[in-house]
Amino acid sequence: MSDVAALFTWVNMRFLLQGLGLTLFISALAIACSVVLGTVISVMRTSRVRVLSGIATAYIEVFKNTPLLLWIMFTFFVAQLPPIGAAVLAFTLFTSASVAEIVRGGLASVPHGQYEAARSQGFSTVQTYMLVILPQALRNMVPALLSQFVTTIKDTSYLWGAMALQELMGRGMILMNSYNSTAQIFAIFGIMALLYFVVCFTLSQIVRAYQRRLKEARAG
Amino acid sequence: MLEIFAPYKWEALFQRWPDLLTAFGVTVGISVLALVIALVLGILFGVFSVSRLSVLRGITRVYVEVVQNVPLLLQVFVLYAIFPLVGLTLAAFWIGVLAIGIYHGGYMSEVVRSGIGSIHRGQFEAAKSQGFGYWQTMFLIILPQAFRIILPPLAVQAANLVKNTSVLALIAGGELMYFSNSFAGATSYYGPAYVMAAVLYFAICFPLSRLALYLERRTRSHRHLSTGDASEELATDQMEVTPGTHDITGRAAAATLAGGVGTMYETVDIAPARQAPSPRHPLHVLGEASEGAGGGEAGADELDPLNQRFTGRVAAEIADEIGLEIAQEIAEECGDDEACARRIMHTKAGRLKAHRRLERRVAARRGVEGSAKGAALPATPDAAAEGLRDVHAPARSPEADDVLASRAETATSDRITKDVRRKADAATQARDGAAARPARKDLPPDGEQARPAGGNSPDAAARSRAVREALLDEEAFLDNDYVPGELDAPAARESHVRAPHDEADYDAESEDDARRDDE
Repeated sequence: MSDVAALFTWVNMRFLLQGLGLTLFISALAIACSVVLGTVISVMRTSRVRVLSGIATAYIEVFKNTPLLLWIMFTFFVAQLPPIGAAVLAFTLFTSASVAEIVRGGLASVPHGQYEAARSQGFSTVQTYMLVILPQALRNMVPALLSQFVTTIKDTSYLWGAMALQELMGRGMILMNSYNSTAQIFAIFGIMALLYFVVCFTLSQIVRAYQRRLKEARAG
Repeated sequence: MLEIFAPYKWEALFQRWPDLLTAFGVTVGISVLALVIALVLGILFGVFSVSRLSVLRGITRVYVEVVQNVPLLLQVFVLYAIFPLVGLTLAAFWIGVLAIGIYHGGYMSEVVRSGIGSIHRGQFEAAKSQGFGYWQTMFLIILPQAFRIILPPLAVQAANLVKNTSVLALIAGGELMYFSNSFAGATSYYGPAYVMAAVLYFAICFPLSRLALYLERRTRSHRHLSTGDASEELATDQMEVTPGTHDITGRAAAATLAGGVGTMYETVDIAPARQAPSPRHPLHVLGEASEGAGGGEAGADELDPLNQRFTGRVAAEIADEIGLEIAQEIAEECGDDEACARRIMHTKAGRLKAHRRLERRVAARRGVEGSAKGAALPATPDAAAEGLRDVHAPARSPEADDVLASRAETATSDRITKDVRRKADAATQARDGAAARPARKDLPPDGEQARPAGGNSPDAAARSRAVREALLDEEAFLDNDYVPGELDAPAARESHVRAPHDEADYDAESEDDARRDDE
């Protein structure tokens, strides 16, 4: 067991936690960009201009029906971007298709009377959306966006295999190279899994609590 | 950019077509086998998760949480790197099948769980009363019914599963993504390799997600699930024109139906998915009997047509019926003009209008039917059990018409008001004249006819209450604003059946009601 204990040095832990930091950074950046892009696509999708809605629909279908790993490879090898840029771009492209649907659902959850009320008070279309509709829609979108965040965090684990980016998974693998007893490898896997689990489980518990609150607010 | 997709690169790729095809076959093979494992695990743990044994529920919880909150790649690596250490070496293919099967089994079990949760409790009780054991009930009664509801989310999961097989590329799994990677790495012809992979993945996943959409629409037209907004779906599917269902169903509607958390991760719908427990529409169920006022006569209540509640299949049939009728109304109004039909269906005002026209027509039809059928009414209890709604239709017609008239009075134009009023009066007269007497004698003599259906001797308080509740019902039905759990607490409905944006309308209406009561 002493070889397992040898793992738990401050240097190793900091090494892994820095990886977790990069994982969270990439995921958060990707989600933030996806919300912007997803909103644009969602608005395009409901547009009355055929071309725009066609493009948006095609975008959503293409990215929903192809694997993420493919787009990571694509942005890294074909578009030849630097690793973090490629990662964020790939995740943004892929996630924004899902986020577009989330935004669509969020907008639909705002009662239509709100549009009419805002318009009757003299708000312009942009003002209506920015000041009245989106703030309300966002409240309903938060749980789904957080779930998407969980998915993204899990998916960042591809980045090590695809482009050797040292996020949590990558750092764990690097660490494994310098420790080679069975127990140590078990332990490193355990630590990685635990770190992912703590982050993702916390987020999904938040989602659940938030959903419950929304439901209660709706019912009461 | 063009250089990336130069023709000679494509040529090089197509020269490797046997390998490409093999890789594609491996992807399909892994997907199918993993899907089987995921389904088996999903059903098993789905049933466990509703078990009475807390041990089974605990095991399921742990399984689901671990699988859903740890990256798939890490799980694959566990099989890939750790199992050999303990002497278990698996081929990459079987690692893929196992890891992906187990991973998606967690998601499937959540889907199955919410599907089971959406089956009405009465089904469990009925099965139990017929002597079915727990497992028999589950596998013979509940799961077959739940299956239809969970099919759409299952198809979504299947598409996700196919996409996730791509992680095996990172452990040299020999499937499509791995082939693309190694081809691209060996030749540096990245463009064609990845585009080809994208096309092939799309070719599998797109049909699956379309299937999910199709299944979901079909399910929805039977079960009246709803979320989201009204859009092109309404125009394409005539069955959808039921006045309560002007909301879109997300693909997760079935899963969110029972408040299942399975939708949290892989699906995207967030607008509240609600199930209208039963379309207790005034056209069909004329006001719930005032439970507070007439507490004494429980026996009479059971046969009282005013007191019927429809759930499950009957409710769905009734709602479909309304939907069809409205679709017919629209068809009559517009003929072949599609734009016109779409306009009506897409605006709430249009749907309401069509709905009101239907109301008037039904009111008129009731008047005719009442006088024609009343004398030849079947009077046996069996007949009543067969179809209470139809048997007693003539007996409750006057109230129906009164309800409709009141409704029209508060909500629609004078023209409609007059129209319905006239019909209501005519129907009442017809009933008082001849038809109603024999029909009413067939009701059980006890309960002292606390709420006689005839228009000439109304118990004023009970009636106005019935009217008010019918109004409320219709309001809720039109806005499709049933809230989850409402079915369990019918008495508390009055406080929260309305959408927030209708609060003002409702207040005005209830004030009107109060005023009418005072007069």
